[in-house]
Amino acid sequence: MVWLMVRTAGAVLVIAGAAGLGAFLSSRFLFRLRLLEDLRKLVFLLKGEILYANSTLGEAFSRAGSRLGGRIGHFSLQVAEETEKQKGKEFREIWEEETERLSDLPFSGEDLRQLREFGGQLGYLDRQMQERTMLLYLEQLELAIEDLREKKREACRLYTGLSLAGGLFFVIIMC
Amino acid sequence: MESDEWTRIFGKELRGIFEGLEVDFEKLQEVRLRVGQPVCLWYENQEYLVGGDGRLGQAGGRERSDRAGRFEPRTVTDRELRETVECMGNYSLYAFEEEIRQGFLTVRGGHRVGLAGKVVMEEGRIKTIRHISGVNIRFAHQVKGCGAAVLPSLLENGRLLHSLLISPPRGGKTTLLRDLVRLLSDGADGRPGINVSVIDERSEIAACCQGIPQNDLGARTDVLDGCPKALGMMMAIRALAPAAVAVDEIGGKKDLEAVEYAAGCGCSVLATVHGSGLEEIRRKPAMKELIDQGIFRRFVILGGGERAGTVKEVLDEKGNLVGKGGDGWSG
Repeated sequence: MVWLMVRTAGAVLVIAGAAGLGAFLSSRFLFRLRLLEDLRKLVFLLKGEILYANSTLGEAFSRAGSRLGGRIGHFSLQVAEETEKQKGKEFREIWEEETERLSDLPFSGEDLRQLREFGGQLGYLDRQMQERTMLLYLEQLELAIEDLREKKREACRLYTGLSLAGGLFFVIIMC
Repeated sequence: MESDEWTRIFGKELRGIFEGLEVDFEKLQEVRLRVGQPVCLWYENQEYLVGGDGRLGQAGGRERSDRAGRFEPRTVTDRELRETVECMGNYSLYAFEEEIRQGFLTVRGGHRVGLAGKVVMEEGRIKTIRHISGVNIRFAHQVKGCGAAVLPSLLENGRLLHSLLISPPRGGKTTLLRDLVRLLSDGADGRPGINVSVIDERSEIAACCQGIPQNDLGARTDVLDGCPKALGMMMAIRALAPAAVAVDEIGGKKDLEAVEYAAGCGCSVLATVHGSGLEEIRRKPAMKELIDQGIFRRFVILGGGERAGTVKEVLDEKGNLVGKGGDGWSG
């Protein structure tokens, strides 16, 4: 009797764990989508600051970061702070260091590569060049966001379903 | 900019050299960097070359310090200069397009950086300067009190007369203008302060950082930072109701028209112009017209001595001597 209860409890725990894993993977997927949307907002704000207010990169990142908030807003404020410190580093170095700190977020390798490339080209040549750089990155973000939105429902269902199925399969095998 | 922060405008490697120098920022006037040439600086009215080991030497071989070993001047590389220019422009040279077209940048602290390099033209006008091969950094210093001796001769019944400060480059006219603005704005010797509008086209007078003046221009001063002089004078008179308007380096036809407009609005004008004396600026046609009309009632002529800020004389509109200044303040 006790043995049966222990086995039932174990099975419930395994299924609950599997469901939790599914929810976790879905939330990471949704979080990545939200982060990319925040990055898109950041680029829109930067575009306004640079093209309309003719702000320097430090000023633009500082204002955009404080408006945006969240993890991407914090990233923007960090870039601004490091830029304003004027340590003599190149902007590319500052950007790469700060982008490195985002590696704990659920960005894909491609997301990070595009982000790194975007920062590496900021500040180069004239305002027209800044606009083009931002438009190019916006286009890349749009594509990634669109792709994630299309897959959103399917992926969330898949993560939850597969995790649950995995859990059930494990329980059946163990029993 | 704090005195210990002046090195921040340089790239990483050059900064290391300047940080190793034993110099008093207040006495530092100018740094010149040219690709492939030694780092030069003007300190206490003397030109020095900078050694890689942090020593200062003179072109003739004499050294400022008495350290042992042969003095080796430090030369500037192309990469170091490029890094420095990027740093000066806060990695945002696009934001200084208009200034670069005119051949300079104004960096934090109000220090002016003159640029030399390949000028790119488009449809007959300068588009930008590329391949920058030389920079000349002129450090701005606020010298509080330097205008106190001159100010009384610019006043009549407590009211500021339209005044023109005349000096050759590095004569100290911007420093004097800055202090006169502060004295007028704060008031002194029983004279109440007045509202002053400063049109700071090159950000040298107020050294604004995100719109906030870094230099002390007094409690009643409004600054239009980065605004063209002619437009700024009109804007200030219409919007800020100043008792006095201050502008640096007038000379263009539009500037002079704006001065005429401001003077006709009951607002005192305090301006500076490049020149070595009244006769020299009279040779500039537009300026001659303005002087002949008797708009300016006082002319402060600077540059009589070796030291920046030496006031030679203060003249009235008829050329009569009305005052004398001090011996200068830098060096």
